[in-house]
Amino acid sequence: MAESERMNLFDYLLENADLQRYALFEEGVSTTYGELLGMVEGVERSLKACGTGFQEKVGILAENSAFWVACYLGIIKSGAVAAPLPSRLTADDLESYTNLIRCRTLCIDDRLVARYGRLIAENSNQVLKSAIMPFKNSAAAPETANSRKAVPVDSEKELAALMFTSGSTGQPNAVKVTHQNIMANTGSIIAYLDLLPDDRMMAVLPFHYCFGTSLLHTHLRAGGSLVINNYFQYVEDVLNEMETFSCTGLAGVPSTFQSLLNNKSFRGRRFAALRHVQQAGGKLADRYIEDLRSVLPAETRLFISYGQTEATARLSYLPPEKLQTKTGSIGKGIPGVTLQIVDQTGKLAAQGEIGEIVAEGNNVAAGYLLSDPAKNPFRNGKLYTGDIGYADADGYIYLVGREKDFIKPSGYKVMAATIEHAILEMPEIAEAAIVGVPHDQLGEAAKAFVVLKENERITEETILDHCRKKLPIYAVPCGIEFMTALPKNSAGKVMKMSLKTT
Amino acid sequence: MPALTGSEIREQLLGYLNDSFPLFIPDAPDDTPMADHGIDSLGMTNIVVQIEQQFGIEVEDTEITRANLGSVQSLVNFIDKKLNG
Repeated sequence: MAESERMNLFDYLLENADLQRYALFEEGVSTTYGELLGMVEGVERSLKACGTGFQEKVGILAENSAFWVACYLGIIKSGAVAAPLPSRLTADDLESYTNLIRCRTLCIDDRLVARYGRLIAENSNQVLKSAIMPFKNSAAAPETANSRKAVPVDSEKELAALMFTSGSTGQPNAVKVTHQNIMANTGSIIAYLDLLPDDRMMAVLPFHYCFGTSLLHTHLRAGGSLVINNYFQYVEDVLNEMETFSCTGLAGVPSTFQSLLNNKSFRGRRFAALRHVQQAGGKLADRYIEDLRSVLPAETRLFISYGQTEATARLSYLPPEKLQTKTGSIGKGIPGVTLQIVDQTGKLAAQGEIGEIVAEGNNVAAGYLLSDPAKNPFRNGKLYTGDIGYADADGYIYLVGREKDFIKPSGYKVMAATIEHAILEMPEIAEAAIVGVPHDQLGEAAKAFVVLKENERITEETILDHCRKKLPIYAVPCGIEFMTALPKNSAGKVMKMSLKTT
Repeated sequence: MPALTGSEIREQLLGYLNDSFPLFIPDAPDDTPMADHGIDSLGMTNIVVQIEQQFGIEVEDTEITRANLGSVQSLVNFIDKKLNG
């Protein structure tokens, strides 16, 4: 086997690291690559002391932090498999995740031990933050750090991480991500973003979420840095840090940008260092994209993109120069990824015809931890994304919605996204979500949950009037509920299950 | 209406937080971060709307910081400063 096929992801990610340069900033505290590698060594030693085996699963339970990054890298470097857990759940909710992976060893922030005490088995090993932080000051000398290569792996087959799917539709599952998957996806993203060692990302997305992890992977590989801020709810702090640390990049999901665009302080800033903005994690309504483009400095490139945990992270992007001519498109496959639209019989869809998006590339993951043959999206080396869309004459893809996110009023299939986009055309409305509710006449009807922009007033009847003009009569919501915000998970995705129960 | 004192503000605020957030720990120290009370960004949005109504104040976008809203203690100080200058 060639040496490149035995490459551990750790060696790939740290290949361009300059030990003297900053890797991370967190609450005003910096961590250089040298200090980070010192902490990685601490994690390796702890794992060894626990007797952690090759390809053994090791959980990580912490907020984004230098500790989190050191654990992730240390686990991967040791040849074990990192399993990043969501860090803001209740103990009851987290239990379905810990039951799924059943780790013998857990890397955990001491602050979380009390909250999740009952989930941490008495005989399990803990790698505590308080035990790892002292290693930051014993940063390995450059020559020894560089000579300590990672445990070789079969990068095509062996796993680097188990990444949880968001579980917004039910029980969580974990995606088996190989070393090669991450190397392939990271290389492609760096190539189209042109990331450089002086790039610095404002990281507000959690690293346990694949979009957040992709920011970490790409900036480490580029030899760049990240500013960690775990408190996006305090937007002003995030904006101040972006300017103080001269961030060159910002990444977010639709709700991130909806919040920012409704914030006067964001709209008034210049962001002199900002080179690029990435949006993924769901469709941002066209008018928000246009608004964002007009608010951002002219020299900032805006990348609309699309991806899935099952594809490591990224699948497509729309080049910034196509933003106006192809508004609403998720673009084309990133380098190394082929995207096709197939119809229900599995045949290639014609131009403009709606079908399922199917992906092929080295970033398509090895499968689910819990495989259910009845709903296996990994078939014949391809990923059947479950997302519905079509391609235009130039091959640009437009998302229509999630295959499963539809309602059936009077037996007609209507994508929830179709109704949401119609409602979001109204300038007074900040956010909208549609769920299906039982209905006496229609069987199932759409119910809308909407959030108004600050200081806007609009009646239910006005919204319904607008819907009647834009939608077939059966798709017009049976009711509108006004909220101050939509319930979202830590990845910023709207949790429709919890709306259904309100 | 006579202005509220700091301890009255605290009392009203704790009443609201305790009633509205199931994971709120009433006997935790006042400087406990809101996140440790299980209050996420949706919760934070609700709190801002609530304190604007309950205390008749206006919260500017530039005031949405941890220093102002990060814990019970900072919220009380923030509201107190708005009401009593």
